[in-house]
Amino acid sequence: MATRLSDVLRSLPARLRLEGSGKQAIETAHHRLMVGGVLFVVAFAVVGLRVVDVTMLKEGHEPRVTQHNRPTGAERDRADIVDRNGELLATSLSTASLYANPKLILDANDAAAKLAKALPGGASEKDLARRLASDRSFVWVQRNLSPRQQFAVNRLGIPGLFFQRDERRVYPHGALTAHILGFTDIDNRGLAGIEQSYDDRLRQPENPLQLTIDIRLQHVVRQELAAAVEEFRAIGGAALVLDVATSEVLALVSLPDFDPNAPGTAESDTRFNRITLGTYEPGSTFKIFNTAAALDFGVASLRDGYDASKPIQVSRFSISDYKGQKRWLSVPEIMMYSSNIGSARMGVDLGRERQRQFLSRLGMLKAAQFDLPEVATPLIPNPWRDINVMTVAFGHGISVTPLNVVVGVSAVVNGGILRPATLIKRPEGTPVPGERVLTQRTSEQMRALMRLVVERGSGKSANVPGYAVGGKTGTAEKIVKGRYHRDMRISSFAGAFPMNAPRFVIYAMLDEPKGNKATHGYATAGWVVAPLVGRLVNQIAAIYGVPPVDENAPEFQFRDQTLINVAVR
Amino acid sequence: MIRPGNVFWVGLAFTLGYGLYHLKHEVKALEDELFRLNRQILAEQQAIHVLRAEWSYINQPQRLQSLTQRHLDLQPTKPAQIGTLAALPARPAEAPAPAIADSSPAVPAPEATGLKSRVTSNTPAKPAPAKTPTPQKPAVLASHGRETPGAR
Repeated sequence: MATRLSDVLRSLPARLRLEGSGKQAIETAHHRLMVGGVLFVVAFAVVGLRVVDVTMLKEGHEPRVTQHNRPTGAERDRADIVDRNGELLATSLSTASLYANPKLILDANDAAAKLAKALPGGASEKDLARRLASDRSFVWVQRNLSPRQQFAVNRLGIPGLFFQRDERRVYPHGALTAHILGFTDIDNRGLAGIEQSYDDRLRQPENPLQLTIDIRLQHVVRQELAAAVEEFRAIGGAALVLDVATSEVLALVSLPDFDPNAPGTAESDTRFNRITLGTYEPGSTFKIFNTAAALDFGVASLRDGYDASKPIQVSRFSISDYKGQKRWLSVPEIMMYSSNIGSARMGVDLGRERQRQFLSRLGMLKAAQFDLPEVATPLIPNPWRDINVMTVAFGHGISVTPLNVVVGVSAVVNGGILRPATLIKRPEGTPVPGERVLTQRTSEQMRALMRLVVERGSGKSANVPGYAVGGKTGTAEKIVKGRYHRDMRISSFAGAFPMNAPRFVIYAMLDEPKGNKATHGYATAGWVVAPLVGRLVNQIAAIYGVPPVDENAPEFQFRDQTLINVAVR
Repeated sequence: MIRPGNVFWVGLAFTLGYGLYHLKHEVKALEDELFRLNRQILAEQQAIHVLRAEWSYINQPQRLQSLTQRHLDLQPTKPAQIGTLAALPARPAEAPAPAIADSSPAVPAPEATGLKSRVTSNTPAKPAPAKTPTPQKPAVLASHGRETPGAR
């Protein structure tokens, strides 16, 4: 007890010296500590080096957080569609869609009653109650609410209702572009028109899709066409304006049309695109191709002619002229007076194979290549008998779409190059694909003939002084129950202007027009469609500032030399 | 026993701690600001987008037409109203030579350019000034869509 611990400690030597097994144990411990220490040093060195590497060497500059957070434009899943001048034709707007989790809804009947009141025009109260009482955990209540509706629903304060950001396709121009753009379903999948055919492209929302349509012209064409449809109490109509140089469609109208903002309410016949989906007997407008074929194959020249003094009888068919001249007619006169007899004889001269080959070259025998999904295949005679050769020559016994006719007419007047029509604007300077289908000389002659039709023939009312309009009228009776119906016609006009160097191809058609007092009861193309084309030419020229031509200028002498002295005595 | 070295290290630790804390707060504030701005940009873009749709909607040709018909005196252009520079008579010389001035039956009548109504409504009783010299060749309104008007 007397010795304290401190005394004992003091009596120990300053350094313990252990010998034997004790010494060895301590040395082992030393080594182990050393190894552990070295490991730690290495580990810290690695971490330190990595810190230097990450903070100073690799990412030495400012952090890139801002770049990751930068907004990449309003989130949209569908691209805009604009016209050739950049005018917005279709866009997607953010909306809120209302959905419910029925498991969280306390009183389904009460909620349904309130919702039905807040969302008039939506689902019925009964239907809502049924949906809200279901045992799922997600049901749509209503898609695409307006801000006002959203506010109204929020104010109800019903638990279990939620909003989801949604998108809605909006067409600011409504029915004006209906047949071109088509429409989408509620989930923004294209169901018709450009929306369908360019669905994949439209799903890349960065760049708008530019069309060749000119909305100003589209409006003018639709307005004039609608006026004509009303004036002649037609059941429908269609019109197309094509840029000859590029085959770009500047305006495409089919009446009746619908509001693509509410396609569900549209009746099915309003969704029918007469330009691309309607196949009609073209009637006399087909004489353009028949005559062009005869001239191109050298079967007939402008100085030749055919006997049109009496109707042709082929078995039980009789081919006669609408306004028979009852004499020999020159080729220009056959076009001018629109002689079926003369055309049929010309077709016979041309022969079956060459007729078919020429029409095939012009793309008349197959569905036109186009940017819309709704394109019909022409109905062609099969087998192609001799009687078909005669009737096809003046546009009967064959049904093609107006689009077929327009593309063909464009090739005939533009110097002989067939270019598929397009609705999608090509970048400036892109070469336009095309292939030669008839000679330059035939094209020149055909332009002269088409000019003659408007100057002195059935298309007189399409004439606009200064613009050298040329074209061909066509009136075809509709077939009802296998027979031609006298009072149901398709009256059409296919033409171009200015005829010395065509810039625009115009096509207009009225479905079942009825004559009125102003037309003395006539409903043929010369009376009902040609004046419409004349008005269109006036407006197109004004919009594009087409300089008027002097129709008496020497440029037009080709007409005088070759035609007038033959055609007009 | 407090050694000066310890004081230094403890001071450094506190300073760094505070510095880090402060920096973190600043970054947080900046990030909040960035987030707010991004939200705002998105909202503005959305608004612009809606306005663009609305602009297109109120620019419907149909609507513009009814507005112009109601408020303006404009009429559709007629072909006769479109002229070319080549169709204009040459500028009168300072002292026109009588020979030129006399032989002027071929002066393009204003009717040909369609500007008659405008001209006459401004100067009702005045016929075209007689001293207008004749252009060298008859003025042709046509350029036929080509670059050389009147090329034969």
